[in-house]
Amino acid sequence: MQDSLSARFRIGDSAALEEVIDRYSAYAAKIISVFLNQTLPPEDMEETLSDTFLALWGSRERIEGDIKPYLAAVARNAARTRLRKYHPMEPLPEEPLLADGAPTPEQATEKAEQRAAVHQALEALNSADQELFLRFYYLDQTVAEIAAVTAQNESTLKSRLKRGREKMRQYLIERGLA
Amino acid sequence: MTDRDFLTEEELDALLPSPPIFNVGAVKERVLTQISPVEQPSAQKPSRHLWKGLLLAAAVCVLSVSCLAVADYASGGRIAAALGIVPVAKEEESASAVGQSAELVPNKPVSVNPVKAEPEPESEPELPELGAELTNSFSFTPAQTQLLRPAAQTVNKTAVNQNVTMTVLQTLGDSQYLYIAVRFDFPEGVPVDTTYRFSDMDFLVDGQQGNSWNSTVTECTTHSVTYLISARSFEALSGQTVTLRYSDYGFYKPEEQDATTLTLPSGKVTIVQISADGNIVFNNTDATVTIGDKTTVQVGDTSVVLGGGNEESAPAGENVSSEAPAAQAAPTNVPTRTETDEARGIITYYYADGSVLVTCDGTHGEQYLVVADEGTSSFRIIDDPSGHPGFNTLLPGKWEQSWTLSYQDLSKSWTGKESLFVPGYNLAALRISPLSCHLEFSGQLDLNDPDANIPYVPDMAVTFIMTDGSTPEQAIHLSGRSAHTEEDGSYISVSEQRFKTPIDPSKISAVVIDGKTFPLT
Repeated sequence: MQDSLSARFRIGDSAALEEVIDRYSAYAAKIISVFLNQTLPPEDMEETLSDTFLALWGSRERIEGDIKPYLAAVARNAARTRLRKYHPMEPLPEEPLLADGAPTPEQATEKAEQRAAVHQALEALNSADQELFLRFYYLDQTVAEIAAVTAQNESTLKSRLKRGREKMRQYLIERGLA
Repeated sequence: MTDRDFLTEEELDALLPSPPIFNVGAVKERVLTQISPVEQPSAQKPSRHLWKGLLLAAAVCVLSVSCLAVADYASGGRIAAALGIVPVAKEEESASAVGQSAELVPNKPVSVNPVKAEPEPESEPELPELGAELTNSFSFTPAQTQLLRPAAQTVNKTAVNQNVTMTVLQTLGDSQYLYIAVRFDFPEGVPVDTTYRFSDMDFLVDGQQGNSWNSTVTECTTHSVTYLISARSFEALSGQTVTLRYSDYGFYKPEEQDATTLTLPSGKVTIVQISADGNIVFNNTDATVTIGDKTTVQVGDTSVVLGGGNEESAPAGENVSSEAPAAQAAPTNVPTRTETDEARGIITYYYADGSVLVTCDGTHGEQYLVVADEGTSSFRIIDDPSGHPGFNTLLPGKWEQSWTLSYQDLSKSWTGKESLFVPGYNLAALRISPLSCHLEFSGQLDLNDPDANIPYVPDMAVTFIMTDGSTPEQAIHLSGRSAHTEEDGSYISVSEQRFKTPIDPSKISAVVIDGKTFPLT
């Protein structure tokens, strides 16, 4: 069972680690690939995945409940580290989910509400903007990172985000959701 | 509404041009060798005294065996014969004997040693006929079959274990891609269909690590299965020794598990990400729902047993206006459904008693079933929440074969340095084989420039100039790339494309990319 796997993983059962790798490596690989907007050579992917699972293993005692949200965050961070190798940019942000300093309840609520609104209103956007919003809100990519991996201009992306938010707001208002 | 903060598999798939390629075994090996030794699975450690005793015993044994060996050699083997020590039989012979004597007892694994077939002498190089396994898999035309003969290698090597014969039939390859046709023949009494499979498969290239592969079933009869393995390596393959290894034949069966109850934040209906349900299969293409036998669904305080392999259909992309799966399967126990809502692969069924049934895409391509009960702010995950059914081994053991790749790489290539698309993005090598097109770019990032990026070209059109001077209008479009950057900022960026149907490089004299012509040799 899921809870049992999380529990075994949390207490340091290496068999659970193997099971987690078996079960979730494909998912983590997809996050990494999408984050970098490219499919890495297998050896680089294997290295990045190893970093991901090692980081997850190192933070296992902080995991509460399902492993997958934590894995998603760690995979994003591993991809971000890999991106830094390609494109040196600003300092790495703190790992959001596994950092000791958790977001305040207000911040968490605000973020969850934003994501919920994005999710509801995504269909108001064209596919390119949907990708942009998924990257920004769900992959937690900065505009600079999205620009780096998609070879687009930062100011263009900012404009598209602004226009997209307006479209989504209008969409939600029309449906009485905002 | 959802408060998850990560993308689902479906959303990720929609953003990916192709699935990532990697070897999960290599990942596991890297990770497990780096975690603390005390965390590794281990047998109970012997005490220090026991170690000393074992070492002493080992030393005595070594001396005794050495003395015995010397005496035996001096006596022409008579000592060994007198002691009843006979020469060790060949592995293949003993494996065959094991296979013949082993009784087939489903669900009762017996311990069988791995079998590695005896290396056979390499056959004389000759131009093989392309076998039906490969030609049928790719629907090659006779002309294509003829073209590819030099790139094929007939292997025909077998390994036998548990009376199951593994035969590596034939390979087809270029510089870095390799297709392998392998067939397993099963004895009477062993169930064979696509439900059954091997628990693990490995493809190894001696001295190389950067290879990846996937496997598909190309033919399945009542007594044999043929697989086509598609492998890729970052180094040249022809001339290398490769190993193909399969482990444990059996099947996956969902484990019987109790429903799980999780508590939700008050006042919210939340969708959580769990994995597939073995008993409920959603076909995303035609929105068909198949419910397996005895799937228990709990709606509110009501427990419902679904079953009978019901199949329901709903038009993809529309609200499910027919009966909900739960309601149709067991109408007497399910509250009245009042509303459905479908968005992005998530279908929510609202019931009159306040309970909510949510089905979502699972993490492994299937879907899972969640019942959210607003009344108690909880939901129940139905049936197999792990989504990782256990593997039931019918025939334990290993089937392994090694052979040396020996085929002609029919690629034509160009190497040099030519800036393309973006200044400083230099084409360093290109290769066209009957099976694939491969472009390799190199460049240098300015580490002092925070905006320095590896140029990304979303669509590279490659056109050919044929040996007769003609220029086909149709271009090959390469999208996506893989890249590697060194610490000093130098990078290699690779774009490649496997062809759906093979081409004949011998008829191509040059390649045109970004308006520049590259002669092939």
